[in-house]
Amino acid sequence: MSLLEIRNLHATVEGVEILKGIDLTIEAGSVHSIMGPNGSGKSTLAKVLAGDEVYEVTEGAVLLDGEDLLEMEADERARSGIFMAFQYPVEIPGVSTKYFLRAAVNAVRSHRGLDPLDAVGFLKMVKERAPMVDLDPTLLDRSVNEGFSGGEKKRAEVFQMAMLEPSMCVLDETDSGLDIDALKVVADGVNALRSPDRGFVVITHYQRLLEYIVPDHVHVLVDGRIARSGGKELAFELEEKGYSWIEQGSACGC
Amino acid sequence: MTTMTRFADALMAAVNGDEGREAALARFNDRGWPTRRDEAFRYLDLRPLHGVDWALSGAQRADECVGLELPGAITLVFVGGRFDEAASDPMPEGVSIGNCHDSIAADVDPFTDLCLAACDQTLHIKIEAEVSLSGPLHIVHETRSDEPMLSAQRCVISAQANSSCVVVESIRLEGNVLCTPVTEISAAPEARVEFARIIDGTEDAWCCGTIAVRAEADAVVHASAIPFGGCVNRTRLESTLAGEHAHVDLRGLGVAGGNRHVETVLSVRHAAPDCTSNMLFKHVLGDTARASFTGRINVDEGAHGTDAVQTSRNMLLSDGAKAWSRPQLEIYADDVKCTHGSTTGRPDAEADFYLRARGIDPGTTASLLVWAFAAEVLDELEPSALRVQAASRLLDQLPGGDKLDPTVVAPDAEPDAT
Ligand SMILES: Nc1ncnc2c1ncn2[C@@H]1O[C@H](COP(=O)(O)OP(=O)(O)O)[C@@H](O)[C@H]1O
Ligand SMILES: [Mg+2]
Repeated sequence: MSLLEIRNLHATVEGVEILKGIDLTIEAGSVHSIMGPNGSGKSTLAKVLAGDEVYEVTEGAVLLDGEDLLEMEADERARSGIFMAFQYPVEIPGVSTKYFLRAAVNAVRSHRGLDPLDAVGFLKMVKERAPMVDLDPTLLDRSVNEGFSGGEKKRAEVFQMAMLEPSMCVLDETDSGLDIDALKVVADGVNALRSPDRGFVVITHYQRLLEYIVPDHVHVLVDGRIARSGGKELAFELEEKGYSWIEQGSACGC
Repeated sequence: MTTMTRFADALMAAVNGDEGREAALARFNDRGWPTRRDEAFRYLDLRPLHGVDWALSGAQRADECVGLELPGAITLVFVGGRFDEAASDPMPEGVSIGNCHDSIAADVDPFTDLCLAACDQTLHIKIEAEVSLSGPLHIVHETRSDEPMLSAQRCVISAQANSSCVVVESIRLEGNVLCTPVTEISAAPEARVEFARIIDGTEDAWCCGTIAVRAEADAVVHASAIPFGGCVNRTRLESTLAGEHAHVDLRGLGVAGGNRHVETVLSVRHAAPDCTSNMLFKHVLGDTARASFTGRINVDEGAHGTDAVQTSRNMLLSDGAKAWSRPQLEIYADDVKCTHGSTTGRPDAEADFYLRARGIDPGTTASLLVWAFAAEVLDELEPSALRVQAASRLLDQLPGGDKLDPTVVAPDAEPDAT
């Protein structure tokens, strides 16, 4: 059984169809990259997988470990193993990051039949994993994402992923807004989480990230459809020729 | 109003020839209850109060104590507005109970006048110059009555030059009660006063109170009103910045469900130059609850350098809840900074999705967001133990709130250090 299976997925927002039939199968242990021009629907796909109710699925199916993902609420999906690193992490003034994250970790743990972590156990885990993405642990004393720099927000997303130990990770432009050093740190963090029973969808606009997180498969999303799939060399080809190469290609039907 | 009822008799008896109280009673009798045509009562329906024949005594202790636990506090207990010596700590120096003629709250509104007329056990808190009260003073008011009962309670805080004190009032009302708490705070030059009033009441109880503040030069007064319960919960806040560089911070957090009404009528007068005032009022409303906020800022002639910031924010948890917000500015000086802002909305859907996308169930995320909204007010409360207590009160009222831990939700109130 595949880890994640997306079949003929159509989704609309405010009545406008954004995803127009996506098919994608992700095996445990593999890294898939989704590239594509701005507005092609990459974030929409990520949010539909995570269960954002702003988007309406009009057709198709998504299975996580053979279970019907679309039947689940967002929180249930997260507990079942989906993690989406937001392109734009949300600032939530007044909610302590530490409290929020412990609640999240314990929600996931209870779903897996594990005992909740107490404050001490939680802090131990934090100390262990914050260095993976070089995250300043004092950020956890602040409100969720509030006043974090762009880079800190992205690190914090990957740090949360390390804490929640999901089986299916969806990273939405985790590279955007990062300088090259920060990019390497974040990529190292992601690579450290690669494992035979975990799958990744790495969404990016640029090929740059894929030099550090080397994908097994690359898909190009254009206008809500996967216009082309290939190996990692497809990313380099894209970098060279630009998206217009594929856009034109799909327009003429090849 | 003039028919000889138990209430009228009791009021006459209470006034007992005292000049100040007679005047208050006369004002109350002359004017009667205001109608909605009265500016300050535009949003509140007072008709349920018409013709009610209140008793002025006979209250019983509430079954359940208010339950606020403030470590190191000196607690003074009043039942139905009357001092309960047995239930109280020994009275500290400077604190006494007696009659009081003068009031900085006279003529504020009919509830205030009613209180000034009816209350013969005013609590006086006098903090001598240069003295810092070591622990908080905790004034507990409890009133329980099945018969209509007026609970008139009055507290006069006078903080002498360069003194400081923390005073917390917790009011618990059960049954057919109209409570009219009036607290007057006079802060002499360089004095510092922290005051908070927390109100909890059953669904038939009314609380219509006043907090009046006068701050002299360089004085700092923080006053908060936190109504959590009761059918109608109205707070009138009157504040005068009377000396240069005085600062007042006025905050409120109202939480209401059912068909309850929370009202704040705020008036801040900048009467001296270079004073600052900061006003933040928030309401969380569910079911068909209503909140009304009127915030008036007056800047007198010559009060240049004034800096006044007024914010009112409402979070609506249901379609039936409703909030009104009305700022009023009157400025007669130059070089003045006055800002006001008001927002009303649902909990942020994006924030909710973010939290749920990390596995947290919807009940908990909703409570977390309400909490986060409220924290801005609660985080400023003194003493810090009050923050946690108020937080758990708030969480009690939220669906799924029992899953949240009031000691760790607020970033600032986190006890376990990293
Ligand atoms: N919440 C939304 N409301 C309205 N339009 C949206 C929303 N989310 C996405 N869209 C629209 O869907 C299209 C795809 O957006 P998105 O998925 O963010 O693309 P990408 O991530 O590939 O840049 C765009 O035209 C965008 O304007
Ligand atoms: Mg995007």
